Amino acid sequence: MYMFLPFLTALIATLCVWYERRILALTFMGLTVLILLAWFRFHATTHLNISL
Amino acid sequence: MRSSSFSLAGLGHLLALLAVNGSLSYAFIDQLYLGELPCPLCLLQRVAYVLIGIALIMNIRFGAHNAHYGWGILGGILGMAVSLRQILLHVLPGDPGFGNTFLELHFYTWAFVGFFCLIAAQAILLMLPNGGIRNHSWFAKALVIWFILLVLANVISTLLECGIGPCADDPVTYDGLQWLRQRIGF
Repeated sequence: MYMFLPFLTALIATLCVWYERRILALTFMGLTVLILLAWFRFHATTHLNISL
Repeated sequence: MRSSSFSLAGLGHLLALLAVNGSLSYAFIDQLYLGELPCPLCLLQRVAYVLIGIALIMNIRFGAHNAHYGWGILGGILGMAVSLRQILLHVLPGDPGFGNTFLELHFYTWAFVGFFCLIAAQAILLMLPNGGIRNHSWFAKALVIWFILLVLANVISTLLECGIGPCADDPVTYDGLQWLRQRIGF
């Protein structure tokens, strides 16, 4: 679980957009979606320690 | 693709990006000024906002494209799922909820409303003509740079909060920063 990872791939995607690398940006955006899905699955299926 | 001509869709992209930037900036104000550290689900909602933002800056820089809207709407749906998960965690009567409130609603509830509005906005933008026009005006560039800086700030903030590992479910300290202090000794 590396929580900074989706932000890092998103940052790379934004830099690709700035330097006009559209396909690369879409690739990193897709990677960010996949990481978000995986991290959300983890947080939606494990016990949370939030003192409910 | 023409460059820097006015279009309603182009204006819509800028306004939607302004909303995304505003939401992410307010999250930082709450974190840095009010001292409320974001929980893992809160961070995932920020990621979903960032995904919508990337779709919008792609529309601004390259001109509108079905793939950009598709990824943006997907990001919005994922964001709604994450915020709904957090709403349901605190839905029981008597539960105070997580974190501060704004206009009597918690931030994750506002995030759900925000994702809904941004998905609706993208549906409307899809229907507007001349979406393919690129926008390289100074205002568009300023908004895009603001967005990139916000994403960079999120990378640094998440590293300082969680370090190289999982975040605490109910974070109260910057674990990554403390780890760094112990390693470097400052």
